[in-house]
Amino acid sequence: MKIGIVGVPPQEILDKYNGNDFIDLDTLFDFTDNSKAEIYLPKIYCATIKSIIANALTIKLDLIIFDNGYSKCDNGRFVSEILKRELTVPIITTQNNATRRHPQPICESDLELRKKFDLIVDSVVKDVDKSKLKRVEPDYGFWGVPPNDFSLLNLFPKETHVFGWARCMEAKVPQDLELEMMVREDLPTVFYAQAFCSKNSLAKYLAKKHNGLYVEVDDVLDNSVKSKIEAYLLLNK
Amino acid sequence: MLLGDVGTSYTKILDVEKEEYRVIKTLDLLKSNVRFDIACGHNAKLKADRVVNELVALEKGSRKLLGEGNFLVVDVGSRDIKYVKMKNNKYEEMDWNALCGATLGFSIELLENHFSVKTSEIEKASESLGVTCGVLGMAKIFDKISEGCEINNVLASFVKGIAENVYRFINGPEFFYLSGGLCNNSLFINSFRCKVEPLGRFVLLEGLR
Repeated sequence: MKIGIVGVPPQEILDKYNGNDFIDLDTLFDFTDNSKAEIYLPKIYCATIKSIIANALTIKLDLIIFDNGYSKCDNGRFVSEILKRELTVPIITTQNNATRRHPQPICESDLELRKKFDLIVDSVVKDVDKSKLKRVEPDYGFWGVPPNDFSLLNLFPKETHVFGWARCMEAKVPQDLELEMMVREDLPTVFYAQAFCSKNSLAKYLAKKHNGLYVEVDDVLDNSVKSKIEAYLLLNK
Repeated sequence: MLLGDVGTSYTKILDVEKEEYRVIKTLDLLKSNVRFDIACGHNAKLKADRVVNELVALEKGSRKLLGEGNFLVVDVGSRDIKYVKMKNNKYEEMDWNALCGATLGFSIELLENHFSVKTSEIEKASESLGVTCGVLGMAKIFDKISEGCEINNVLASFVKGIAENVYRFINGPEFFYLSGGLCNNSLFINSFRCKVEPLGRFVLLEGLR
């Protein structure tokens, strides 16, 4: 079966479908056309949520497992309802209440930041070998969710640790707000949120509190945001 | 050595050997075959092999002009607003407002041309027009004019609105240094509710030296 997943569904549900072909619908694939989502969503909307809809409309799926509660986001809850009503493919909605934090070696590894995120996203649906990962002492932090446009991550050096919801993903506790809000006090950190996402409130608050840089990106990275992040990294060298 | 601050509307140029500064329209620059040894700005990569980040150039240029110590310097450009705050010679805070809330300098120039008015010759307004960004602010200007308000007053309110916008963006300081083309606009400077000291439009070039 080809199964689309959204968010971080509970492990026991994923285990039930072990061996099937999983596709993360939150991903902006080369073929993802977010404008397709505009038949159900306003034009101005969270790009990640638009990608979920666009992918669900494009990829021929046998099942969607949609983690749509507070372990994902409010937008996800509404959108799962739209998909349930509009698609013929069966949709299982879940709320991941897992509380046992798994270790987060990917977030603190010496891999390129983009590679870290690739592995974090992969680790939701498959076992990732973490035994050879080496921890790196960080110069910077990146807080947030996996961005819609992964090219944003190329701006950061390897010596960047991952915080925020992405860390919760690796820890397999997507509803753990305490872990999501954890940052390292002395570490220059970029607080990222997707435009029109309610996580902007956390990103802005934490950036102000920890003297970090708050960055909001809609859809794909533009030169202005790129320059802003570059400047922050250079000035904090 | 030729240094360039290649902005959206204007390019500031420094010939280091001749100690000669000049300003040309960026559109004219793009049509020419001028190339810089080092440049910064939105269009810099089109005209130089070595490109320096604008905010880093602002920080370096400000330190050259002001010396070490504590300062807040704000660059208001045609398209964006950016600031850097230094404390005890160390970086303290920065931000760069490039999209929503921007296009401020550009809007002023557009309005000056449209109404054939020099805003720097207008008296400051007591009321400010709520300006979110240049584009939305312009819609409000035309609404006010259609209500019968006097054009110069409306323009002064718009400029005050821009000043308020910048003031909020930099977290309401008691004093700051201003960089950029609007240093020559006395209406803009007088529209702030705090003390402002203009550094001129060549601060970033100093940071490229």
